[in-house]
This record gives sequence, structure tokens and C-alpha cells, in this order.
Amino acid sequence: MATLHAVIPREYRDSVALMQLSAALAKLPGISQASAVMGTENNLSLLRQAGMNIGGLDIGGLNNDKVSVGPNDLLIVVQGDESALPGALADAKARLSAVGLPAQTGDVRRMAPRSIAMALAENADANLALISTPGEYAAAEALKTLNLGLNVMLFSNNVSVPEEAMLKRVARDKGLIVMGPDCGTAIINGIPLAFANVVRRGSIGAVGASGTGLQEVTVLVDQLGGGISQAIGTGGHDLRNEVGGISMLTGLEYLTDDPDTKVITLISKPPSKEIADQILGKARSSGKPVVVIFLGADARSLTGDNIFGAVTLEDAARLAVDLAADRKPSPASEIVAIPPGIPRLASGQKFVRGLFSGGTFCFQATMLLQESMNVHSNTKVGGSLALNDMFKSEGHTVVDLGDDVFTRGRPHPMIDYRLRIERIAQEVQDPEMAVLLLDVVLGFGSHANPAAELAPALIAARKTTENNGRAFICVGHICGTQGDPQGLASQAEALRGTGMILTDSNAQAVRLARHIIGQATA
Amino acid sequence: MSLALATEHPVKLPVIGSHRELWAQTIGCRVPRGSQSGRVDAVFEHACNVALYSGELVVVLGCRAGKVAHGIRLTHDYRFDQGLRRGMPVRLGPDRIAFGNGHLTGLLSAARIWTPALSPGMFEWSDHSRSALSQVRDLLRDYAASSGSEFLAVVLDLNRSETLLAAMVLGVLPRLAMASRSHDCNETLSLLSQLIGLGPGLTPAGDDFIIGWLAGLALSAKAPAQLSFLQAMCAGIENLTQATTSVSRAHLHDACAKMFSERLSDLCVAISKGEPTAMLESLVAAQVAVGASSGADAAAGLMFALPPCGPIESEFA
Repeated sequence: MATLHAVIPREYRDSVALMQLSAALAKLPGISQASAVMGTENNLSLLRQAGMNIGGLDIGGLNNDKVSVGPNDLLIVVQGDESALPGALADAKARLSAVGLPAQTGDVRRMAPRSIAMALAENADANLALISTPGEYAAAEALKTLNLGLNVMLFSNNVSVPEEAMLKRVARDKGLIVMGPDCGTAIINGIPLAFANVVRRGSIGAVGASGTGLQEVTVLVDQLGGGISQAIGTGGHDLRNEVGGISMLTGLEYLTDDPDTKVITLISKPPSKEIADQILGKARSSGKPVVVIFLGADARSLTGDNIFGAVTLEDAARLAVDLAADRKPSPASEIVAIPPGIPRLASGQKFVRGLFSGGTFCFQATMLLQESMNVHSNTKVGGSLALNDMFKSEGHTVVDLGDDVFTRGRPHPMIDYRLRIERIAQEVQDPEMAVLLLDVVLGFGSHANPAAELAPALIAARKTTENNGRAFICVGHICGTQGDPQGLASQAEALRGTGMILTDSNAQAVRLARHIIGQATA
Repeated sequence: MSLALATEHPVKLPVIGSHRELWAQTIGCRVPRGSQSGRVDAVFEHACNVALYSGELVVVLGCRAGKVAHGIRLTHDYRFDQGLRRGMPVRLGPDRIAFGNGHLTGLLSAARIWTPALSPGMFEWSDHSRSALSQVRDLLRDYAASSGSEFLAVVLDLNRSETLLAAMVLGVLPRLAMASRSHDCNETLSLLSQLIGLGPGLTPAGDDFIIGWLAGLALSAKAPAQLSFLQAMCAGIENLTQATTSVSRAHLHDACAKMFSERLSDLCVAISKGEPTAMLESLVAAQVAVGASSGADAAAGLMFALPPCGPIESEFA
């Protein structure tokens, strides 16, 4: 039995790769033992004890006559038939090269594109660019991109409304679309862009001026058995008079012409009458069923001909799925039963505290809660009351933690749960807090494992509340699908494990919270 | 529809800044401050090591990795192996860590300083903590075989493989238990020197075990004799670290400063607080998922330092 070894200086591979390499080498014909380990003294000692002859090796080069190996060098040792050993070592080096970095193995890497024009030169078929630069540069980049003949998804915010209007007019004149600025989500031909979820493809097309609103509708469509043809974001200012709803109108035209889209859904906060009339007029002439949700607007006043008004995002998704399946639209459900076993609120516990990462979820929550209570919020909805201090709740409070006030200098709360966790700890100190209302957004772009961040915070919050003789009730919903990178089922399981009550939608969660408060104060 | 894209594959796009500009979520409390230069020392799929010219090592991690005291964790996953290469220059400044010529920039201004939750002596033996410890042991038994950790198999007294590593571990650990229980510093360090740098992996299994063991010692050290033993072990282990890889050395330095990784710290804290089963399950799973067997090896060290019957009795007694 012979032994042969090779030292690869300063070669790092992670543990899994080294173990896989050892195992692969040991399976080669003629090889009885193989080991790929870092060249530490104890590992050398172990190899010697294993009968692997590495006598020519010396730690740290203390003896210049011997080949030196150090703790940062990779040592590969193979034992077996003498004739098989050189081939095995060559195989090991080839495997390391194959999984190694191009630069380490001598390959020349092509320089990555430094501009949209360079990228387009490499990929001439591309017809959409996603721009995510600081706002001050975004409009210029978008304009250059439009002039190159590309559609634009403009993730950047802090682009002025006049610049937005200019970009959208240029795009319209060129037969292109600008999704954004501040466009956080889109699904184009099944490809999620920015914050978006993995949903089934199907016959429902959506155009949305609200990011999480569009995410919620696409997710609920998926959960209700439907599918999405395209989901086009427009940015939240698109329906302002100065911009004129140009992107929503263009998106509506695309979906009207798209043979794969059977039902169209439009999502926005209520626009001015002038803009609403333009959009509804175009929707009527599409010849396809169009579900319209202008959050906070009177849904019945929208309904007529091929237009179906919806009150909530959930209603919009349900209507769209029914229409796509040629079913009679099912009536909106407003009744949410209180699940058994929830703890009894202590006297004095009377307020809802909603902490949202999705702006549209906050908007819808404020809208629905206001039906029966006065609500303080940093999102102005109808008669909602302003907060004296956004960092401190008063009465029923619903907060959009994605507000610029909270995100200045830190990532968005869909990515970074710090702020929400701190705020939860703050809320549970308040003896008047009765129900904590949350959203959890999954999908590309969002936090990789929200439950891992939230669960310990909720367990701690429950302990604090219960130690103070109060009940801890947390209600929320997950905007996500099983196909999302985080996995809906595992996230739900982890959150339910903390006692959190999960509903199927934001609207249901809000109504349940409202119901719990109503029962307790009845 | 004129929005057809050139690719049919779902793409995961970074959502903040340019393609190579990512926010950092946390900066470990042992990451050096001020402006420094260095070079990329090693690149992995989800992490990369930066050797600063001051001699310190900083690890930059994607968001799926657990935090470490000498590490900067980004808010997003990033394929370091596709964007960086060894030897690339790195500049670490107060507000950013920049790789190469704009290859990757980690923006540090919004990152919070992360300090492990574990503080020495926080462990209290109670029914809750005893139950949590017992549950963690049971959970680790389930992971022992799949993790491939020889240390875990020995500590939990499970069926061991007949490898030399297993034999060596079995030869050292009972003696280590006795030496550490009697606070025999010389004997303990002598035995630890047989473990350092031992075993497969970039962070050799023996080092991971020692880190877990130190975490257990730190967690339960209250009495003056325990605290001075802990101090002596930290100082002694510092002197042994030249015998292992530079990557592992950085983790051992953290451990000797009682700055353990996020996952190990959280598991320790959960045991000491007697957290519910669901939480223990997720924390054990997260710990065991570290590396190939690194997480399990460290968990073995922790269990070794926290025997089930309490700090006095031990399975090796």
C-alpha cells in the first residue's frame, strides 16, 4: 500500500467541499483511503496514525530539506495502489479547479458591464432595464435607457414628480413603459422583479400603483387557485394629476392586447375624478373583465358593464379568480370568526396596535379599522388621526414602518426587522395594548427568514405581557406563497408556534383584530 | 405584450443600490474600526474572509449566515464566489467595505453593532433550564448521525464510527472532563492542544468543539474559581491558536474574548432561560446547520461543558 500527497498552499475550501472531495477520492479505483484536510499539526499526526505515510512533510517549514505545510495549506493525501495515486491527486486538483474561482484557476473573466449601453451590447435581446441608483441619478439613467429603446423598471425613489411625468411622456411617445419610480414589485413573464413573490402563471393580469397591494393580490390569486399573466407596477405617484396615470393606462393597454390575459385587475389608492374617468373609460373599452380596487373608494360606484369594484385587496383577488374561471363573482366576506382559545383581555386592554412593513397593508388596515373606531396613523386615510409622535402609539394606532421617517439610513422593514422588533417591545409595555397587528412579507427581496427574527421577539413580548397579568394577542397575515424562497408553510408554522394568529389576508387580520376589540369592549 | 425578457429563469435581484452595492445589516463588535486595508484571503459561496494588513481577519457574510463577532453581515445573500477572488484589495472604512475596483461595496452606515447575547455566568440551574438542556441533548441526538460529528457522537455516547478521529476524541474527552472539573489548567490545556486544528474542515472539528466548550464554561462560570479557570483557559487557548487555520483562529480569538457566534450564543441563552420547545428546536437546527459539522461539533462542546445532571456531576465522573 503506497501513499502520495500534495500540498496546495493557502487554499481554502469550506468544510463541505473538503469532505466531498475526500469522499470522492476514496471512491476512485485503486484508492483505499483519501483525506483532504488543512495542514495542522494535529491533522498530520492523525494522518500518520492512520498509516498514511506523509514522512516528507514538515510543519511550518522548520526543516528546509522537507516539503513544508502549514495550517493554512490544504493537504491532500491518497493511499492505495501505487499506480492509481498520481491519477487520484490529479483528479483532486481538477476537482478543486472545477469548483474554484475563475480568477484562481487562471480563467480570464470578462469585465462586467458598467453601463446600460454596455449591458445591452452584450445582450441585444433585452428590452427591460431595472434601475436602482440613488434618486438623484435615477431620472438621467432612466432617460438614457428609454433612448436606448428599453422599458424601464425604476426601483429608485426620490425622483421628483415633474421628472416622473417627463420620463413617462417620453416612454409613451416611444411605445415603452416606465414602471416607477419607487416601483417595488413586478412580475414580467413569470419573472419576479425586486420585491415579488413566486406565483403560478395564469390568465389574470394586474397593474398596480401600490407595491404591497400588488403583491397581496398576486399572492391571493395564487392561493385561490388562479395565476398571474403579468403584474405591472407603476409607482405610487402615477395616478397623480401631474403624471396622469400614464403607466397605468399603458399597462392596461398591454394587458388588453395580451392574449394570455383574460381578466385585468387595477390596484391603486383613489385617484382624482379626472384620472379615474380616463382609466375607467379605457378599462371599459378593453372588452375584458376588469376588477378595480381604488382603496377607500366606494366600490359600488365603480361597478358597471365589465368593471367590478372591490373593497379590499382580498376581494379584488377573489373577484379576479372567479371571473377568470367563468364563475359568478362570490360576495365579499366580511365576517371573521374569533378562533377558540384566545386569552381573555385584561381590563384596560383596549387598543389595536398595527405595525406594518407594507404601506398598502397599513393603508387598508387604517381604512377598515376606521369603520368602527378612531385610528391614529402616519398614513392619511379619510378621517384618520395624525400621530403626535410617530415613534409612540396613542389609542388605536396603525403605523407604516416603511415611512421615510423610519427608513432613513436603514433598510426597509421588509428586510430589516430591527425597528419592528424594538417597537413590539415598546408596545407591550403599554397596559392599554390589546391586539398587536402585523404583516409578514415573503418573496424575493424580503428578509430571508422573517420568522427567525419575529418569533423570539413575539415570545419575549408574550412573556412580558403575561408577567404583567395581561393577555398577549397577536394577529397577522403572511403575504407569501409556498414557492417563495422563505417557504410559506415553514414561516407560518414558526410564527404559529409563538401563539400568533395567522389569517389568510391583511383584510381578514384587520377585521379579526377589530372583532376581538369589539367583543372585549361590548 | 412587448415586455418579453431575454431570460426565462427567475432572477433574484439585489434591491438596494447598484448591483454591487449592498447594505450591511450588522457589524460584529470585534470588527476593527477606522480605515484599514487588506486583501481577500478566501472566498466561499456565502462568505468571504478579508485579511487586514494589521493582522486581523474580518469575515463578510450573506444574510443567511449567522453573525459572528469578527464579521459583517449583509442584508442580502450574495454569491461571493462569483463576484470576488482571492488577493483582491479591500478597503475598510467607517462607512463602507470596498472590494477590488467596485466589485462589491458593503455599505456600513445603517448597520448596527452586533454583540452576542451570551454573557458569562448567566446560566442558572432551574427546572426550566434543566428541562431545556435535556431537550437540546435529545434534539442533538437526532442530528448526530447526519451531522457526521465524531465529537457529538462521543459526548452523547452514541454509536461511534471506528475512525481514528473518533478514537482520539474518545481518548481525550474523559480526561478533559476530569481535568477541567478539577480546574487543572496545565492538564486541561495539554489535552486541548491535542484537539486544536484536529479534524476535517476549514475550521477543524477540534476547534469547533473547543469553542462550544468555552461557551459552556462561560455560561456557567459564577464562582471565583470557575471564573479564574475560564480566564486561564482563554489565555491558554490564545497561545495554541497558531496551530490551526487562520479562519479558525479568528473564531477562537472571538471565543477567548467570550464573543461567541450568534447561533451558539442564542442557543446558550435559550437553554439558560428555559425557552419553549419550538424555539429550542429552531435554534438547535440553526446551530447544527453551520458548516459541514462545525455547528454540531460546537454543540458537542457546549453539551460537554454543561453535563445533564448539573455542574458538579458529569457523565465522565
